Amino acid sequence: MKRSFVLFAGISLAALAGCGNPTFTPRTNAPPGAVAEYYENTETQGRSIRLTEGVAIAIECSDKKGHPCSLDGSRMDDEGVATVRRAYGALDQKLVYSGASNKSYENRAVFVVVGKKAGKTKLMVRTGNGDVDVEIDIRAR
Amino acid sequence: MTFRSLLFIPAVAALGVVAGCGSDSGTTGALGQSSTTADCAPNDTACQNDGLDAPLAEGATLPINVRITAKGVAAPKLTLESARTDVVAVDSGQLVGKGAGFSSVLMLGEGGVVMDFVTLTVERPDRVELYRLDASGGAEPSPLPQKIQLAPGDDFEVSVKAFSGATRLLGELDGGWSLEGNAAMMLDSGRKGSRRVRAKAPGSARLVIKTSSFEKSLDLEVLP
Repeated sequence: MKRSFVLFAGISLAALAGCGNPTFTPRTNAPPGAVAEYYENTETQGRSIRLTEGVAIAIECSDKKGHPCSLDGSRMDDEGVATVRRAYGALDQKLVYSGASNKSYENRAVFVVVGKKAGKTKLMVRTGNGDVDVEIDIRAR
Repeated sequence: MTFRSLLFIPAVAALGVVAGCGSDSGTTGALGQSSTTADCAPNDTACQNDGLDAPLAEGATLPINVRITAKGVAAPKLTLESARTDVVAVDSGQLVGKGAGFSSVLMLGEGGVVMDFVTLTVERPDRVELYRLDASGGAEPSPLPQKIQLAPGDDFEVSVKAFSGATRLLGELDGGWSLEGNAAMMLDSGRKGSRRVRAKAPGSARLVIKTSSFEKSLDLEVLP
């Protein structure tokens, strides 16, 4: 019983400390007949976004500590294939710290990827706690 | 059915009513922070309620109104940007259907920050129809037949609408308007994509519009 309590406490502490991976959460969908999808493999840390050309997707980003990503300096390798822009998200604020006497909320970080033409490229997202590469796959209609 | 479940039904109905209240016309942006409507005639309720919920016709122009609806946010100066300018072009606040496909239209605030976006479909029309417009520019529900009769002095405004299957496509098509015959005269109505026709004297005339892909005509018989 004592051992399982220590294990639970350890997991809880790790979760609070945000020792996980950056979190990407899609916030928009595609129109009928088009694709706007996000895939990730937490084992390989492989991440990819698939879009029909002309379609955009908005993704919320949290860094590995659970804070909203900084996004400053994020870039797309080939802007002829896809572009990335910061977005404004009038969403509820994100609780990033909750201690005995303090709580801290921050604005959520959202970016938009726009598929320009069929092809593949790579997006580097600057989270503020490490950079993340995302494969971008833009498909013809 | 228990008393508790009987209470549940009106509660759900009330929630539905509350959810319905405050719903806005037009198309809500993907991020839920904007509302976009076609710039419609004042009493064209179908146009005003539909927003952008139909494909834009290839070759057509669609003036739009964009409102930022994020709570507590005064709308900043907006710039519209098309994801694919070969599908949708943005020209002074108007969308122009350039070619079939999808294109997101981004609403950009200061510093290029995306406030919201809508994704449009552009379709190639498979037919066009002529519609009589009322005084405020709203189209009548049904298209004009092939032939109509007029008395001297009658006049009306006519516009051309594009279709793909059963779907009336968005946007104003412009093309070459011409009038054959002396029984009527054609005037520029001042509205893009429409013309005013006035019956002059007994006889016949034919109104013709030629777009890039279609030709549509309306026979006019002016009675004594």
